Amino acid sequence: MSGPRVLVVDDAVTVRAFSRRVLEADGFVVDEAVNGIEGLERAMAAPPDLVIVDVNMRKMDGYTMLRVLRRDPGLRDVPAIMISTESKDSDREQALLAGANWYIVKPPRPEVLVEAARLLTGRPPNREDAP
Amino acid sequence: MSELFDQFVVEAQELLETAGAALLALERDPADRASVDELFRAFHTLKGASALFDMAPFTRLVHAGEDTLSLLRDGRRGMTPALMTPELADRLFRALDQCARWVAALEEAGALPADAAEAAEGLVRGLAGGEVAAGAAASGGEADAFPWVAALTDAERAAVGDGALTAIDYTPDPECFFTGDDPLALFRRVPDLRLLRIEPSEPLPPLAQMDPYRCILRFRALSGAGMEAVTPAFRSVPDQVRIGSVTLAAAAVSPAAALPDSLAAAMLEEQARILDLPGSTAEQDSRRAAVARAVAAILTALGQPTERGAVEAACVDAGTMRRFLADGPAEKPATAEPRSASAPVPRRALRVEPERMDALMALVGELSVVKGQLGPLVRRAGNGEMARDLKSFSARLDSLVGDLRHAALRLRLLPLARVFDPLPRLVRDTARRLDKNVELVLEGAETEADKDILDVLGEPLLHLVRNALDHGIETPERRAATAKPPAGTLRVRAFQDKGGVVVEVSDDGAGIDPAAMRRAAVAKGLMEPDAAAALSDTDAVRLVFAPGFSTAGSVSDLSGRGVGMDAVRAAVERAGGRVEVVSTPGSGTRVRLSLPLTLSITRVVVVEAAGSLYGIPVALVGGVQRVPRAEIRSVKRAESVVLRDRVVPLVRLRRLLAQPDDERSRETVCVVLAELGDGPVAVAVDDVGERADVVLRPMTGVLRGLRGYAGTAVLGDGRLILVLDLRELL
Repeated sequence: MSGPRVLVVDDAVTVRAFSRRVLEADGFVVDEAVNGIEGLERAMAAPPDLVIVDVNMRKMDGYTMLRVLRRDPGLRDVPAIMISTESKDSDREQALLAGANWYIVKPPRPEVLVEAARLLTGRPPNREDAP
Repeated sequence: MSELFDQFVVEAQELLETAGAALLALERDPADRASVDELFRAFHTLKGASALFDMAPFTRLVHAGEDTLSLLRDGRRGMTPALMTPELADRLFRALDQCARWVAALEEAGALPADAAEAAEGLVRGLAGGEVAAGAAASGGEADAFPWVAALTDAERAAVGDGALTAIDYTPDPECFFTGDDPLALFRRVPDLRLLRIEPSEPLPPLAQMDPYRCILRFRALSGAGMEAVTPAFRSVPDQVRIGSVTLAAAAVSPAAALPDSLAAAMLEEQARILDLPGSTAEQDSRRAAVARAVAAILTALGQPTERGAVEAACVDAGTMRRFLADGPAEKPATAEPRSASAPVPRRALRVEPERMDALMALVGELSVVKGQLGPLVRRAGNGEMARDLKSFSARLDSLVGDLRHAALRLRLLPLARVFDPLPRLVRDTARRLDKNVELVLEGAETEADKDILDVLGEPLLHLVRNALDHGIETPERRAATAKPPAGTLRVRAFQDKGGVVVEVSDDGAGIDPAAMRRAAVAKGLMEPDAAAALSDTDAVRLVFAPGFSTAGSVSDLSGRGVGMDAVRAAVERAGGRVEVVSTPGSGTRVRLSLPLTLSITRVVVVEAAGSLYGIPVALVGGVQRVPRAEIRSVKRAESVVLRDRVVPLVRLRRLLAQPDDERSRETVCVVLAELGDGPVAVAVDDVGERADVVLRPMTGVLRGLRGYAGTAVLGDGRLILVLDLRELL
């Protein structure tokens, strides 16, 4: 397996499993973390090509994690998707302010999640390929 | 998706438990921010996870809970955590309970029950402020009268569209097939039918009991036509239908839900926008770096790889980026983006189906028994070289089987927290209902026991706790009168004890009065007055375990003491355990349940009577003793013996089993002291043998009807024993 590495940070095991399934089916290599702290640890141990981060998590929330990520010299440019159940503009804005590149409202449609991940990791959309 | 679904069920169960515990903590201390957060997060996570599946009512309910909690948490609309009243807690508990029932249904049937939408609606309304819907008029037409409309699945919403619609709720008379109505035909006459849902109106009976001539269906539909156009179709069944107009708001479409084609464009525009966001220089710098990389990646994905430097140069502000993107990127290929690295797989706990575990345990049990048969074989082999090899082989096998048994046993061990978890809630609800003030102290929740034992323990424990609250702990006024602190203390303690697990339930309540017990026993005709008077205080208190005994002045709806205590004793003894009670009038009661570590393997004392071998579960055996014949006293047919300074009734196993008395005259009699719930009994046997671990097999076939036996078992050397059910036998 040598697809782009995606780090999924979410405290809900079901959501992580969903993302893993959807992304792995499309050739991504998926890593998981259950909160911001663990997410940063994993990202530092093995810099991902994309992080997908939940907002509300125990210990460290998604906003804080993204802020820290953006301050890290080795990780500051890693593309980030923030994913949340909130669909208000203000929530989207807050995600972007924290450092997200894109915002997806939960529950994500599998194809939307995959397409966004593809775009942010430089893989052509709508086409089967193996980088 | 079923694996994912299973995962959801497990996660939801855990989250609901977390939420329940947090709610209890919050109710105790409304200023406890950590609990508000915890509770909020549990609802929030449930919302996100449930939304992955088609269970709109579930999502809707947890969403409502989340909303309420977020108001509470953020102090909005004049709500503060201090407003966590018992009433609000009740509503949240009800929501959690409903979710728990749904999760159980999901686990069982894979779907929410048919009435989920209505159930959700009622609870949601309660959470939102409590205004209960007044019975909506038959055709009054408000969305409230058709709660299911608000809980349509995404697919259904997409199908019905939005705007003003007419909702139809039709539950045909079950006998409608005989009156000539054809429900489906009625709907064919409905103009612009956009949605038709056919659901069972009551739980479906098993197929064999299904009456095909009864209509147990409910029809729900939405039409794009007005009410006046829809109503005529149902002229023949006005009493069975409700029709009303509802308005569906357009579903909020998030930008991300747009088509992939425009997704790239939307993402690029978003990157430009990010460049204009306010922030410190450092923040803006890092955002620029992230935007540069994201834009480069998107362009590469679109087949327009662009030099990173050019992209970075455009990362000044939104305007520059937009111009850069509009002008079309340069042709130079970007640096290869994706890095390869092997992903470490996170560790996960293994979930094993209980049946597989049971099968493994049964095999291990059989293996232990078969291994035991090797012993006599080795002894018979004599002293030759082969015998020596056989002996060492047998010894190694011995230790391996022992290790294997231990390992298998450990697999099945679970912390008692599982049976402790429901207690805080039970105590809270019960105490509230009884207007009592109770502090629950749980100790030793980490103590482990076999899952079978936990299953056995659950019910009796609930019963003991209810009992203690109902009959043990007094009302605050009563406690004040006896100079006790107003809050009673209920302590549930678990610990490991010589190969078994012990759970104690103690309270600092009124205690059990032995004199009252004696009087009650006589009044109920359970005992002769002099027999009752002869009872020691300890034995008198033990009468609570006697079948059909009740000392409660009034039997409340919570627990009728005697019957329940008898059931507790029966359940525990059936599992090879025992129950003891100690009580001091005025200062409290302690009930102690001792259970073996596992049900799969029973430790028995092997005894002999009339040439046959029997087993008595070790848990019931208080001691084995030789008693001089002369010390056995007999009053009429009843015999007794003084053991450990107590007069203990003596029974002879031969007589119990209807075997002839022992002809041989002996100086001493072998006696097994059996500790039964209502007092010790000395069982006289011919001989006492070793203690052995056996796999108990229930009686089957014609033997099944035989009373007094817990089952059969094979000893290590292959001999068969009958394991006695002493309680039944006595």
